[in-house]
Amino acid sequence: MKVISSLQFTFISIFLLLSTKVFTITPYVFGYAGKDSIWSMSFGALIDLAILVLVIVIMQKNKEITFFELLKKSFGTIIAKILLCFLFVFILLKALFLYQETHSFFLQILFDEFPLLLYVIPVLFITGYFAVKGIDTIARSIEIFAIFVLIGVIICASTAVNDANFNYLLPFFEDGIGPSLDGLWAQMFYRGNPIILLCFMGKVEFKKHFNVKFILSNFILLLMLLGTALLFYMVYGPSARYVEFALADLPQYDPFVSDLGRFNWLSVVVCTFALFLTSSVFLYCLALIGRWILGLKRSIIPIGISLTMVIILALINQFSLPLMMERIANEWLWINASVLFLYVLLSFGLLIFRRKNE
Amino acid sequence: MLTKSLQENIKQLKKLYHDSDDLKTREFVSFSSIKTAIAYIDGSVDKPFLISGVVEPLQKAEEIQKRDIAKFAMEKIVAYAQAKTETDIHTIISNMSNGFCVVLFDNCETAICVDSTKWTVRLPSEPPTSAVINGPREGFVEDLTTNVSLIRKRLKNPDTIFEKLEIGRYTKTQIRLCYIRGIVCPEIVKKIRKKLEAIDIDGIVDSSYLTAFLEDRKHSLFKMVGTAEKPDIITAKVLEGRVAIIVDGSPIVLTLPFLIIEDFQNSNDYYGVSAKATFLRWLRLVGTLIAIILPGSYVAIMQYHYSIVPIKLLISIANSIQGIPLSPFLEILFVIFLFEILYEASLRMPRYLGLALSVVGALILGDTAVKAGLVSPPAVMIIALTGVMSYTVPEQTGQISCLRLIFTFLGGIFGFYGILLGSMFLIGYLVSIENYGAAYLAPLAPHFHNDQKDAFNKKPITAQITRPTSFPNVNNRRLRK
Repeated sequence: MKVISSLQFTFISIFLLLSTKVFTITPYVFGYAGKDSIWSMSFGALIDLAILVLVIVIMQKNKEITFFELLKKSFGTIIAKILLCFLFVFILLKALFLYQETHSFFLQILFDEFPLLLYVIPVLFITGYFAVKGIDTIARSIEIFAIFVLIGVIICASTAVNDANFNYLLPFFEDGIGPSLDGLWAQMFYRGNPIILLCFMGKVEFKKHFNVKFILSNFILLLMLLGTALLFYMVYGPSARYVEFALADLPQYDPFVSDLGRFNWLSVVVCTFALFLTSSVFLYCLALIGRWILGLKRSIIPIGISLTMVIILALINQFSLPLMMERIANEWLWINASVLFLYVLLSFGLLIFRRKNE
Repeated sequence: MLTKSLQENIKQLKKLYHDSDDLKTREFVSFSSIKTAIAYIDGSVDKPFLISGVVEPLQKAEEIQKRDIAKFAMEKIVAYAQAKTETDIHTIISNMSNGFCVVLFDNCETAICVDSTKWTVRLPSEPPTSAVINGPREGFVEDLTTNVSLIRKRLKNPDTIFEKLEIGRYTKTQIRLCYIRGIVCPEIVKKIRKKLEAIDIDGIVDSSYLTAFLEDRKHSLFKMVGTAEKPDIITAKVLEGRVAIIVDGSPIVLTLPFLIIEDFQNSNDYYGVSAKATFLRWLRLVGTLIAIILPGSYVAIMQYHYSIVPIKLLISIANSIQGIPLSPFLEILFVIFLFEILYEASLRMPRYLGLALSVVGALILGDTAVKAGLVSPPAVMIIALTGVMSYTVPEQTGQISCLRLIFTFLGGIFGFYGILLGSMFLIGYLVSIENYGAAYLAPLAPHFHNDQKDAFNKKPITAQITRPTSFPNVNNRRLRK
């Protein structure tokens, strides 16, 4: 079995955390929580961190077996497969959203016209290629791109510092904690990505002091993302809800634009490496789960099935980001939140079950 | 097998060589009365040695009554030369082809094969592609023995093995696998040996012939086998646990396993200040990346994303491209085509003419094309710049040229989106390559912390306590403090 190093696993986790938090989440949450959005985002980040810790504990306790084996051992094959089906849906919706978000980003920021097929075919081919090649190829690529992506995020955020106005956020909790909780609930579709890490159970080579380094690096990333969100709210104030792609539009008022050019866009383009690679991670996990459910040895068929489902769902949503956002708010939010809740319960259950057995 | 008749044996040799003109035979009398003959391939033997070391002592030898003259002659008369007795005619032929002289006696079924090799070889000199400011200047030559001795001079430990192989039905090319027992991973040696032994080809003309057989990915754009022209480089690589493959007739020695990082390392880096080596390695990396991506990015920016360019620069570019009939994409393709033509022609032209042509090509053609309004100055500048940058890593120039063209197409068709996907695919492809137990992009991906000391950040030799771990070896300790 192919295994990945602790460092590679950490980077995958960072990319999973980063992927759905770059563009639409910040303006979307603002629509629910208003100027208390940063608190909603902070609570959301805490949820991600808590899930991350939970997942790592489970993985550390079951180093030698895969997630499917663990589920089979604990609940039997049929229930294990049913549980995996839920996870499949959870990841599929996230993958679909990521593809759509990236497409809309390119369409709005970089091109006047961007034929759909010109986007869909190459991106599905590339992500499919990575998924077929396997986890070590994805992990190594992430290892290479991680530093550029993180630098890209920092550049994007830092160019907007001059335009930030802290007063936009004051006073805190003017309407009580209600809006913050509304914002927290609304963003549940974007949260819970660390659950996907369970698919890597039994494939990671844990090293000494891994836990501390892993949690710390992910915590720093979450802080960085919160910092970016904070800057976004401080730059845009009440008009934040009308912005579509937070990170890309963050340096819009950058006074250096005319002198230096919109190099910040280049940074954003670099950031999209993270989105594509995370899509590959999603696709890999979908293929893995598909293999477990269908009892297959090779990944090609599950990858084909997953890509077909992504295309069908995208067609249903007419490849439209606003339509998809509407679906998130009305349907997908519930689906993902339910799966997340189920898996959190399941994780606790697995830990308790193990303790009792011991 | 040899017969007792001298004439018959000579006839056999001539027949097997099809009366080839370079097969020389000379008969004389040795031990006062025994009819003797020597046979050799003209041009492959040291004639003065043959006369003074073989013919004259045999002629002067006194009459004897021994039954096995050949054995006696080898032990007593030509004892100081490297010699062996042979009875099989095909082995004798094989020895002769490798520069041995054969001594045949009448009434004797055994011949003496005397090593009198002296091929026409050039002296070791500094290879034109691996010039150094500091450090050794010796380079490999086309002679296997010389090349082996150049390595042996530096690796005196008896654990240094030179394993003999012969490939080529017609060329019978001598190959040596060089490695250090106790450092190299035996599995790697075994795999290389197996691949080489499986080769059944009419001839191996140069070491580059072997690379195709040693590569796991035969159609890859990227080279999978390392090459070096200097014994100091090969010594360093063998000391790291690699296997060197020396081919007779080639000054290029192959090394395995090969990692792409090796092409960014230069022997000069090891003979100078580490900080400078670090700077130069990063420069090579940046140069390579720019050489690959810049033309494509220029096309993408000019065709799709011009708002990225600062306004003043944009005005300046807009002025310079005004009136150009071609789109930025076609313009860049046209200049790349011109550049590649000039490059190819200057390589094939006689040396001085080639030099003149490249200057004329660059100055006159470029200038005229700009003045004629066929191409814009930015396009010429970008291709000239990337052309020069592609030589920062000379071993990868061919690959860089291909990738530059591919990325130009991607930039022209898909804009930055294409470049992004192209970069991702390229990295994905490179990281997926496994070469003799080593990841091709190691120690970058997967990250090997220990090997970073000699990756893009070069640390002094005192800090490199262990051998690289990016590829397998059995003895990791390099420096004892």
